[in-house]
Amino acid sequence: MHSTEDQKQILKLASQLLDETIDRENFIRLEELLSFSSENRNYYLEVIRLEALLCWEQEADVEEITFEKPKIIPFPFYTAALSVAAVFVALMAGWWAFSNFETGSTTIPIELAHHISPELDELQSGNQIHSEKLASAGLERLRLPNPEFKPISERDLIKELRKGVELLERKEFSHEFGTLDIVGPVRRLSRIDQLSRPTERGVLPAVGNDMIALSELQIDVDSQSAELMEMIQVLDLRDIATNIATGEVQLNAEAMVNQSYGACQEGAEFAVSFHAFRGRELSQKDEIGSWESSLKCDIDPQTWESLISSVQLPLGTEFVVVSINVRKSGSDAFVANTSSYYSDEFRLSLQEGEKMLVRTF
Amino acid sequence: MVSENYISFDFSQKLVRIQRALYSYILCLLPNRTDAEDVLQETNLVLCKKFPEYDETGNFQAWAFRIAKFQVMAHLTRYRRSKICFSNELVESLAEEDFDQSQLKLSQKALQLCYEELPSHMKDIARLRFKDESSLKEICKKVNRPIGSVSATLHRIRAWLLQCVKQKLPALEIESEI
Repeated sequence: MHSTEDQKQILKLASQLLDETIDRENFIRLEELLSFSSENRNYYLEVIRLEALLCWEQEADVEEITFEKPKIIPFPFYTAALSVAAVFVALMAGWWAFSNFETGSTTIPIELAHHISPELDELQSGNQIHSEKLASAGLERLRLPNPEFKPISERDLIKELRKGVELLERKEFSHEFGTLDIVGPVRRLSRIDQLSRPTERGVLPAVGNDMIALSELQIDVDSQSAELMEMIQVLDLRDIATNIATGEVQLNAEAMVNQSYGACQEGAEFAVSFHAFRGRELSQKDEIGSWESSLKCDIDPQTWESLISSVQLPLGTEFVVVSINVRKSGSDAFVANTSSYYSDEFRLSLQEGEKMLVRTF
Repeated sequence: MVSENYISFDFSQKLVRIQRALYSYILCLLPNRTDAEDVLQETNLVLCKKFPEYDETGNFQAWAFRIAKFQVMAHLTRYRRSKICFSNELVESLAEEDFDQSQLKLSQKALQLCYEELPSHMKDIARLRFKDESSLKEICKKVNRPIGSVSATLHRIRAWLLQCVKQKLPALEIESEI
């Protein structure tokens, strides 16, 4: 039959075409056959689709994976300086509140006063801090009203910044970014509580009942990359300025990292980064250094990997922002957010030479 | 206001799920694996760039295939002088034929079964060509046979697998309906 003969020819010529052994004469013959009828074209498509299926990776049939939409509201990417500045405003507002408590100001909200540890009175700026005193000072957390964490655009961020400055000048306290506390001589704003989640998307915390769930990565189509800088803590180190002036103060960070199942071929690159600033403006010109240590994670959500990083704080450092960064590149970048990214056991410590200034916090 | 470079989770999901069908569609219009892979990458880039224009209520496959077709046409325009290529008219005709994704899934299942049943004298060359992505020259070196012989074997492999898949499909269709 004509069509069976045609099909035999189509298969033979398509095979040559796919193996790049076809000559011009046979190619023209193939074109003629395909232009002749829809039936011929459909048979040709059957042949090519079979070839596509043969060539397609069969190890992971992505269509079988069920994706669970992450519950975290994405935190869109904006410049490090702006985001840090926003957090700084909140921090400054809170610290002002603490310092006013010490001087007996009446503008502090009642709930703040209840939470302040009496041992805070003993902490004076510029003193040498001994580890025993730190142990007894303990850790007092101030949990402030925490509205639902929501994304914020660059324009709104600047508005928040200005609002923060106004609140500072009016001697009021408000923040939306994290939990304020004091650990020894260090005041910090921490987002760990806000980012904490229990088990999620097949990932169990490394230790305990919850872990840090990082936000979605921002995808840059042109550069085929996806990136996230998730600020975890901002530290005010002005009270150890004299220690830092020796040039021997080291900030250590350790964290465990992991990712859930997704469509990516490879694991993400995780990093702990430090950004040191001088001055309360936290603008780019105030940045005196930034450092990063990274590792490539595997794609097995059963295994947590350990990230350790240290930085010698440069002279003049007053504030440090510690972040966890996640990166994907190439084709994996487009599907970066089919996985979720996590951290656990996030710890910092400060030491001066061999002496611990602040043990794990 | 979210950054312009933000791609939603749902969109990423859809993009992932359509990769196999998209590659298959592109290869049908541009039957060269390397070229088809390049065009697939370019198509993915364009799809992501066009995310802000994407209508969630629309047919994602139709939208993605339309963009893929334009990428194929652009590729053919660039390389028409140096390579043997289908005419634009034929590409349009091929693009218009129906593409049933569910049929593709069933064919994949059937192919997996058939591949395991491939006669042993065909298995080595099938593995070298389809899994290891070796070129014909590389295969000839490895199996120590002339190019005409390897080419003929690949033709027989494709014919065997096509026939096998056709035989297994009806039973798989019934299974999928249950």
